[in-house]
Amino acid sequence: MRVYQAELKRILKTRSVQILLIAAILVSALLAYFPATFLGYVYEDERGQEVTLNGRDALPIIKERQGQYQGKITQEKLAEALEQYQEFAAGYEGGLPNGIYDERVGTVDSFAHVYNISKLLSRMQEVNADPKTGIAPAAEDLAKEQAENFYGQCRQHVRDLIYLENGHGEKVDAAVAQAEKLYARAETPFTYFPGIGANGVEYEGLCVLFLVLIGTVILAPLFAGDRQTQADQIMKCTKHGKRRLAACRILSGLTIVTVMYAVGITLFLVLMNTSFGWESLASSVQIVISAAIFLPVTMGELELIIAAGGYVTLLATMAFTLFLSGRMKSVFAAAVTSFIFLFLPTVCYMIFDGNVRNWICGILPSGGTGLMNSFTYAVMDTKFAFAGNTAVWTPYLMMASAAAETLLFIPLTAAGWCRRRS
Amino acid sequence: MELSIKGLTKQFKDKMAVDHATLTVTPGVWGLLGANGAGKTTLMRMVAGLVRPTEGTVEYGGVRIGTLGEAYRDIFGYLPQEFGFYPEFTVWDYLDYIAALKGIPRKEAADKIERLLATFGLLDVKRKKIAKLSGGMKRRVGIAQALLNEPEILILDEPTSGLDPGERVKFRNLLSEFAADRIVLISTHIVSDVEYIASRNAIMKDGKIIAVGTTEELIRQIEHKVWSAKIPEYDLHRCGQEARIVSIRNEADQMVSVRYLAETPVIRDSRECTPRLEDLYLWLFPEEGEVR
Repeated sequence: MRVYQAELKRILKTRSVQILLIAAILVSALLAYFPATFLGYVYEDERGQEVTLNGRDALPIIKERQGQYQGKITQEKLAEALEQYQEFAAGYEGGLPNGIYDERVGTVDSFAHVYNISKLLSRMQEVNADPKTGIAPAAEDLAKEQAENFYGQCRQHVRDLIYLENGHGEKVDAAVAQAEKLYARAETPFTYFPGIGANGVEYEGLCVLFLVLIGTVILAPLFAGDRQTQADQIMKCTKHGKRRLAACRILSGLTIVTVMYAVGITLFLVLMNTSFGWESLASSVQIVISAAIFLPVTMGELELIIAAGGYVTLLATMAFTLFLSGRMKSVFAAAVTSFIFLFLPTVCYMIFDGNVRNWICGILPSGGTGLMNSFTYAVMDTKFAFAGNTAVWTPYLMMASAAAETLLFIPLTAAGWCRRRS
Repeated sequence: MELSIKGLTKQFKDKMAVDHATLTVTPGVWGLLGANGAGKTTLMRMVAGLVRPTEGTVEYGGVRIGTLGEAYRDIFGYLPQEFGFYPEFTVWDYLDYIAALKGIPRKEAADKIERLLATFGLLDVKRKKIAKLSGGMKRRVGIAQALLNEPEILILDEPTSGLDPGERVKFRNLLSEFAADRIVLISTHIVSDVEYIASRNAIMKDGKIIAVGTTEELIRQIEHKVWSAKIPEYDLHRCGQEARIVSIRNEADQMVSVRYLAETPVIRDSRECTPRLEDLYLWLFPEEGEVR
């Protein structure tokens, strides 16, 4: 315990660590501010003047207007929304083949008649996409019967989408079976409360990335720094200077990044959810983000899953960073190598395609975080990694790999520290 | 208890740093003398368990140090030649940190740290960051950490570099007291550090231990080879070519007194001198240009 406390004190006394921990808090708070800034609403006031509201100012009116459809999204509500849109479109000669993007549609009108039902329309268009091309129909081409069969079509759409992305075959059947099993657990009718949107969870993923990045900067010099300055020579000659020091150093490093992560992500979620309104967390992800998400959760649960997935990724990335730190003779080499491996999944995501990409991004320690390839996007996606006839949903692969790598690299780090130089 | 170094060898790619070194180190102060690159630091690192030997073993009380593991490190103190501190640590923080690694309970550590700080004249700077201390003070902090656990085996690699003459004397006296029933091995090429306090010395050259013995035994090797003479200044160059000059002192009338090493006197009217360890060192390591 004394060694652990001493090590904790040593790391926390380091000026760069103090600065990075403060930066983690500031970045989390800053990122929480942005998602609500993308909101906007345009309306006409009593004097007939066009009023534009942006950011948090727009939220009360959005909640008021979209609130008429909040709660359980029954198929009747969907049909009603479709009827509302089609009546609006019929007001234009020849209808609105390009939807609200038609140049005849004024901004005020689109907000007044379509914005409040836009989520419902998008989902209906999405699930009725052509199974061969994936192209969604225009809202005015949808029939009332399609709205009334929305939930049946949702399940069919998930199937169609997986086949469209992966072709047909036994392995894809296995993937579809997994997806259907999960989707069957989603509570229907879906629920919707205006507030948080896809931007919120995307920013949460970004927050995870920043926290992992800061954690990497904190932990990269942990062992390499002592080798560079040769401070390790004295330590390794002390009673507890080998295995126990390595274990306590790893533990204290992980304690610091865990607390940093917990504070950072909690702060982010509290600030963001407060700005959007906590009631919107009860919305089903299938309405807010995509009907094809087969994770049976609400937005609030999705936030927690992303936070938990981010933590598992953080642990794996930190374990690997510590392992590299133990192998490198200089802080610079340890930091550069750690950064390369941190962003390797992002690079691989851009370079590779298909199954290879899914495997590489899934098994690398930092596969769960990145710009386009993160766990956040994976849980909202329908990507599977295939091996033979086996299909593994990529978030499962990311988490299983990260957990295994954490367990592998921690003892390897300790062993590396205890090893005598040859 | 004895520290036995048996056939210790370390081969680095194309360089044999330590070549089958064998030495039995008994309690008392031991001087490990040798020129730069003689293999002293590598030998000490192997004794400290930091470097894996290519061949040979180090045993304490008849048991290999690798087998002793933590028990060996518990009775071991080490001051390397080069080592780093944490820039944000004060002197107290650092010593407390090392005390934790040495398994010394907090209360006991506090008392020991206070005592050592007083011994090494560091009390005034105990709350000062190590990064802001002078080289000599940093070295004193290094020595203090090595003594924290009152080790049975104390290995000091160039401990006095950076210390002023007063500090050096104080340090030598402290070591003499400390080493009464302990093994203290000091690696140095500053001969005066060990000349007066080492009970025995080992001399290393090209990775090999070429001589072991008390100072008196060792300097016997150069009896009748140390001379002094007074010569005109202009003759100094010629004299330097014929003999190894140990020291030069200016005298009146453009004359100089020289102390030199040679099998037979090379200057007329030379007087034989009592040999010192420094003379032996320069006899064995003629390539060492600097007179210390």
